[in-house]
Amino acid sequence: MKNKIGLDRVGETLLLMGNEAIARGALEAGVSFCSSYPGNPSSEIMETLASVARDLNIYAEWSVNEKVALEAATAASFAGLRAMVSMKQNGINVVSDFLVNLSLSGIKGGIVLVTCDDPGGISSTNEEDARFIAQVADIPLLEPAHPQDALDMTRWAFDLSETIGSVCVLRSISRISHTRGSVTLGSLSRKKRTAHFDTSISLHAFPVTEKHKILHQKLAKARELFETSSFNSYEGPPDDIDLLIIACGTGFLYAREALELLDLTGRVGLLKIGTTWPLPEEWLENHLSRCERILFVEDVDPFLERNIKAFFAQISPKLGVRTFYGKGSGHIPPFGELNPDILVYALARILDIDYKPEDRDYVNKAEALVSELVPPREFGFCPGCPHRASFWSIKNALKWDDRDGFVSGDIGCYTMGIWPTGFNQVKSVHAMGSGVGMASGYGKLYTYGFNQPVISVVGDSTFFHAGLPPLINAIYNQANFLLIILDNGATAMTGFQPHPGTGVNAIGDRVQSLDIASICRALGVSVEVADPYEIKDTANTIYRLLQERTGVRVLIMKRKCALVQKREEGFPYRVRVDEERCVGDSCGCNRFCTRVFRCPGLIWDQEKKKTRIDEVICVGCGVCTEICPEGAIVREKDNHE
Amino acid sequence: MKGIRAILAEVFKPGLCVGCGGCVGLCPYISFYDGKVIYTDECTRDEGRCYEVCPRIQCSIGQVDEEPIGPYLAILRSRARNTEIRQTTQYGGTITALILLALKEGLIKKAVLTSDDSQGAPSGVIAQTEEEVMACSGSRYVGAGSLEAFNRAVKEETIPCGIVGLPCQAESLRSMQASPLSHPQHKDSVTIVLGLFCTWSLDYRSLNRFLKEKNLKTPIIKYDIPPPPANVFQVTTRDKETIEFPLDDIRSFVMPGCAFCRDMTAEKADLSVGTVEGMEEWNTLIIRTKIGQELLELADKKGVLELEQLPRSNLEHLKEASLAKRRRKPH
Amino acid sequence: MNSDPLNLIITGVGGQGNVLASRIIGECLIKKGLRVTIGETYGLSQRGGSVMSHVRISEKGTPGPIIPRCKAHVIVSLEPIEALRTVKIYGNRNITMIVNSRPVYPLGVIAGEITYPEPAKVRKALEELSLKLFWIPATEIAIRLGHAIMSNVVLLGALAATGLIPLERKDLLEVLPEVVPSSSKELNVTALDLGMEAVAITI
Ligand SMILES: Cc1cc2nc3c(=O)[nH]c(=O)nc-3n(C[C@H](O)[C@H](O)[C@H](O)COP(=O)(O)OP(=O)(O)OC[C@H]3O[C@@H](n4cnc5c(N)ncnc54)[C@H](O)[C@@H]3O)c2cc1C
Ligand code: SF4
Ligand code: SF4
Repeated sequence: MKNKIGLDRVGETLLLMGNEAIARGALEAGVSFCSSYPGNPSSEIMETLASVARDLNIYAEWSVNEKVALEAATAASFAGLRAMVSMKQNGINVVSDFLVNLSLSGIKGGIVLVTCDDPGGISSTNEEDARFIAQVADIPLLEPAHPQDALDMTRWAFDLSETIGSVCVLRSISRISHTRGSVTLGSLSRKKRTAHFDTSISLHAFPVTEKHKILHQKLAKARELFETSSFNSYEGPPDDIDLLIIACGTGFLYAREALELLDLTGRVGLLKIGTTWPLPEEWLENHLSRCERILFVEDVDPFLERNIKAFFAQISPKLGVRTFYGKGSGHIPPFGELNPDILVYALARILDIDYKPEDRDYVNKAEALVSELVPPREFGFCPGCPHRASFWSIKNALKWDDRDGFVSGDIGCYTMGIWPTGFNQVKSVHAMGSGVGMASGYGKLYTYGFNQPVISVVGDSTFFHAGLPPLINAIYNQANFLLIILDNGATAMTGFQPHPGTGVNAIGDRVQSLDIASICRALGVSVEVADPYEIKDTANTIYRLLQERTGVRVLIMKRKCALVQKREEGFPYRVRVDEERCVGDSCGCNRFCTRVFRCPGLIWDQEKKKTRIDEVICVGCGVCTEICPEGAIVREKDNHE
Repeated sequence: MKGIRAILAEVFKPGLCVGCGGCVGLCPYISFYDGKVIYTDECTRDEGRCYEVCPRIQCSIGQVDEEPIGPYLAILRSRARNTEIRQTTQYGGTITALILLALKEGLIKKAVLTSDDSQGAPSGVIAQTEEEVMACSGSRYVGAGSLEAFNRAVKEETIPCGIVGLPCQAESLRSMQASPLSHPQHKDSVTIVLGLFCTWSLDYRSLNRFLKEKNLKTPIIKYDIPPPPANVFQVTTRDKETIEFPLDDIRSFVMPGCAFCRDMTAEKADLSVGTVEGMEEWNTLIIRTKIGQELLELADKKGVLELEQLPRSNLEHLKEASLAKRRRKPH
Repeated sequence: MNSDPLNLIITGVGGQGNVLASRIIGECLIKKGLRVTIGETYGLSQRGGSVMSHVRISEKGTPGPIIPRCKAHVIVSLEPIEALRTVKIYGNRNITMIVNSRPVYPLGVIAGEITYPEPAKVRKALEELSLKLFWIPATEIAIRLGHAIMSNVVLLGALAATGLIPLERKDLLEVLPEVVPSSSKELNVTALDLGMEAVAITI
């Protein structure tokens, strides 16, 4: 599908993903500079912008990490351009150091910082609520409720940012970023800006207190603008309501739907708030006076709830007593993702309504049948994934080594090494690059009797993002461990975005590729390169490197991501199982390939008691042929294709 | 009958595996790597050949009141007549000479022996030529997993094999032959079992670490423990240099599983071979079975071995030593 | 439309092309001036997990991205047990289901640790839980055309044939060329028609 995002068709309604709507909003605001580090659910913002960058003459880059992305974007702002930086919630922690200083210095061209949070941790290691950053950095925060809102808010956020001279945060969540909806386009900006840094001024945080004071004045200005913002609205009976719901984000849509389901639209008022920091206090005060019972609806933390309660403490002498419902009262959980049913049941509880979405018999029968028939689905590496092969070798080498060694994991597809698909090899996973930092620590515990070998695994993209400083730390401090860089030539987890090692940039230009091996060698460590598919040789290499007990050793396991390989060149083999040879679950195999290696291309045939290849799923990498103890899995060169 | 989970609990976890290799190569779950038997993946079967063949589990030898050196037809002393052979063999070269004979006469097609891999770790060898057999001469006083080579040799089909092994290995082979789970080609391939006397054997990785710390880099081609009161452990390097260490330095590398072994003279073998105290050029030779006897008669006829009466005092001594091993209490 | 919003779920396993299917439907409907919201749940789903799209169609408002419990009108599933998993949460006595009969085995089943239920049982359970079930060998049809991945288009044809949502063959013909490579356009149209035929036979 051609990207319609760059079309100048005012008033046309398109089906856009929330992330595309954000990108469009930026284009309508006249953004010039966009930077990002990939991370779900934010990645499509940058992908969309990059796809139209050439045509619309904007600059788009995948930065090495989120902090650098914001720094680069800030340069554009200081030179008078509008800039947008997008990331997932984790990225906010990475940018925070720079951001708290940037808010003191102030900006020139508008900067919109987009955080796409992931309530429920659908594609994350946490479900952090990144809205805190707005309060920490004293900058305004906007929260859209749906893709159209996302477009409109993004466009306006640039004006706001430029008007008050502060970065503006736009907070999306998975349910907006990854939701497609009807979005009506505005006009693309025609304003041409030229970049120039005004050397008559200097931008920094000094004197700190003075700048902090100015920052609060900017915030006050934002508050004033929020008082009349069209992103805040009330729907419901004008007076005499039993309950007032205050909602932001998709919670607003869930609340609206819950009210309809329970037939409460005539009894309950719904306040949608899109400008969640600083609070539009006067506007809020007006609405808080409508009713004595208030329910807060928001994804994940009680951010709005606490701030409004704190504000209410100031005005309560005027307004009197209120009962607040929400995360504090236990009516809505302070963890996990919201959905309309949470709202329905919270409302039913508060207003004492009996709600059944369908008759009990049906629901009971469905539950019984599902628990009887439906097996769980576990996550796994794709068929042909080099990570499966890599963890196979890692597992064997660690077993052979027999000193209770283990893997310190990192962020990427290979995080799945914590599960059977990676033979449960990964024993800890936290943030980008932190597996290397932790290995650096383990590598210094030998004086305390620690004699377990440690392997740190890190992907190529993660290595550039946050793997280098801990590697340098380990080398400098003479830590002992084996660093395995799983180089599959892409940021696979988030959709194959390029990175400094790939030789391609965000808009597809060929650029110099940074060679990971050379970088490591330049740091003074020995580097070897192995092919994950060569499971025998590679396991031997890992074993040997584990035996060398001095300092950091680096092994690069290089093999293209299977999904990329499949798309680009395809795989070389046709694989089949020789049924005569397959000994199935008898002593001597016990379903070694399907039960232990677990490539989804291999299927255990319950009836025949043999393994067979699922020709729809197998990609033809041929690795399993090396695993079968009986040589029953055979591969032949696949000539057609 | 039990499976690998039982071995794991009863043998691997308490550290009792002696690295005979009987269970290695029967399945993909157990491998022999760098001188050690390793359990790499979890097998869920309730019964398995691994459990059936493990001598640390299937242990039938060791009643103190039995004949201390087990059943036998005759005891002699022997050595290879060919002095070339004796250049590299441990003592009298009886083993090497008999294996060469059996191959040459077509009694066996393959010999399962023990040598070192390219990294210097012990490993089983499938030998067919004179050169290959000669390369295996000399004793490696470590658990060598060499039955793995037998399992490998007969994986596909029955092949008459001569197997040289320690008492635990002879025991493992016989258990394998007796087990209803074993495959016919395994059972039928055991043609001649030549057993080596053994008091204990060492853990390769510990010994290797020790030797590395002592800066011994060249491969060891021969190990020896001269008779008391020497109390030393000798190793000979490829450059023909012999180095001695106090035996006490080595003792902690003795495999804990050996403490449970009651068999010094390989009672389950067809022929058992060991040293003759004070006579480095000779072997003690115990003939135990008809198969052993026939092989020996052939060796005599072909003039391959010199055979003599074993001096009475040596026999007495052997029985004493063997009884001592039977009475050994695992610590 | 009988209800507003009209709630359709497309479910399956990562890599089966559900997201594309829901997007094609969305594009068709938006061209007709309807308002559409498609809430998508994927994450690690590329790697073997369940994927689900909630397609909500309205003539007036902006529906939320998640369908409330028991409130789906139609479920299209690219995989039998995913259909069951989904109907448990979103099903009701009046639901229609269009289900691909070909299983994608979970890793635990492939590994022989758990069993995949007999297809006949799954089919019966689905029949019990729906007003009408269309059990369609979409993958087999697609394999016959040479590309298993086209099973999603087969099911789109089936969906259009039911007439349950305002989606017609001509709408699909308009959008398909925008999303599939031109080389496979004709095959895709065949897949669509075979899907429609499969429903026509059952009705
Ligand atoms: C671990 C060990 C402990 C021993 N302890 C004693 C003892 O206490 N008292 C005693 O009298 N004799 C002992 N022996 C036997 C002795 O060292 C000689 O192997 C034996 O006397 C045969 O001598 P030979 O000259 O015929 O040997 P050779 O003709 O040199 O033949 C030696 C044979 O031993 C095999 N071999 C070498 N190392 C191993 C091993 N680790 N595992 C299995 N097979 C191996 C080789 O394949 C070769 O075929 C021991 C041997 C070993 C390996
Ligand atoms: S060849 Fe084997 S390992 Fe590779 S994708 Fe096919 S089944 Fe999986
Ligand atoms: S003693 Fe032998 S059979 Fe027993 S576990 Fe060790 S190698 Fe295997």
